[in-house]
Amino acid sequence: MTQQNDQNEPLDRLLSALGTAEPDTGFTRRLSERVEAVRRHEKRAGLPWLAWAPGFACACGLALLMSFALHHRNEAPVVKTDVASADRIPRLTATPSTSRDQAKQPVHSKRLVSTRSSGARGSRSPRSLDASKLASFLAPPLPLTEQEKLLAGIARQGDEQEMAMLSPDIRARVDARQQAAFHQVFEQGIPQFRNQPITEERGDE
Amino acid sequence: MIATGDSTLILTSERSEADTHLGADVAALVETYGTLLFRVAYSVLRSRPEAEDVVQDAFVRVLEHRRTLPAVRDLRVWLVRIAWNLALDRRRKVRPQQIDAVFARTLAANTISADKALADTRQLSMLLEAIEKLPKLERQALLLSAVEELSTAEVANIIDRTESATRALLFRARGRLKQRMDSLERRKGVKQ
Repeated sequence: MTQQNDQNEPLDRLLSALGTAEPDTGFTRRLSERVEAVRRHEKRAGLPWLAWAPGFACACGLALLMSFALHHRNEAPVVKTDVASADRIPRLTATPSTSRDQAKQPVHSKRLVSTRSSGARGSRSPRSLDASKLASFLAPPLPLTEQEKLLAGIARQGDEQEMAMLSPDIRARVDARQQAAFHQVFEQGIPQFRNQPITEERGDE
Repeated sequence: MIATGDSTLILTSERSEADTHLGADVAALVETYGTLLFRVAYSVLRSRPEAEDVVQDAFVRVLEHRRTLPAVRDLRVWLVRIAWNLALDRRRKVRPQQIDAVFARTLAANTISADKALADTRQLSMLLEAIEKLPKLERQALLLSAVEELSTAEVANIIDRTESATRALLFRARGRLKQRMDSLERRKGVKQ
């Protein structure tokens, strides 16, 4: 029996050493830290959309800014406009005209005069401005009609006679005078020619 | 909430709540079963760093399969089985002979003088070699039974055998080892 115990002693010692082994110091702490790290990593990996969140927020902010700029661009008053188009339109106020004539000028001309008189003329092009400043500039006005182009051409030439013709009163007086001359020629002048013999013409033949 | 005091798993909260408290639950599992799983892994690997790695991997597996935790009947056996299988996998990758030699040397040096320690180391190395040559189930039953915290019923549960079959495996393993050691001793005596 004692011999059998001696033979089993190394095995028991071996199994006991295996079964009662103690982990190194700090084993539980290391284990907890590793498990916690894995758990945090899995938590982050479970929310992949979080990686896109900053980009998405930037895109939303940009879209909001653009819509705000476009909204204000469409709603701004027409009177405040418009430096670039003013350079293309001739300056009608340079020509002599009455206040009544000015009142009858087209809308574009009035806008042009008011803009220039207020000193809002700028030297920079709107294209050189950044997007944030675009909100304070309005859309360019509609193109001139054919009549407006004609008027602008007359004003550019500066012919006083033609400019005077633009006034309805002057034009009415001129028309009346021409009509009177016409009647004078064809109504009073014809009886004088009635007494002339027709045979002169026949004699020519 | 997972009750870790006994071998029963009690899950009373909803799944989302379980997810929320998972960190605390796993921390409790680490506290309760960490050492046990270490001993199970150490009985196979005989190396502390390797056994520690296996325990960490086992708890990582627990985190990965946390959805199935409510279906686990015996959490203790389930955890030991995970650690056991991971340790067996790892043993195939490492060099067991070198590790066993170091283990035998350490174990022998703890007890006695240098010249007797040398003889002890040789005897323990032969014993470890004989254990490794045992049939798979006998070896597994023997190594698991070495872990003090595991009862024969739990060992039987881990290796998927009945309790009586496990006892038989243990008996046969011990007998086979005794025979091999006797024959080795005889060979050694003849040589001398």
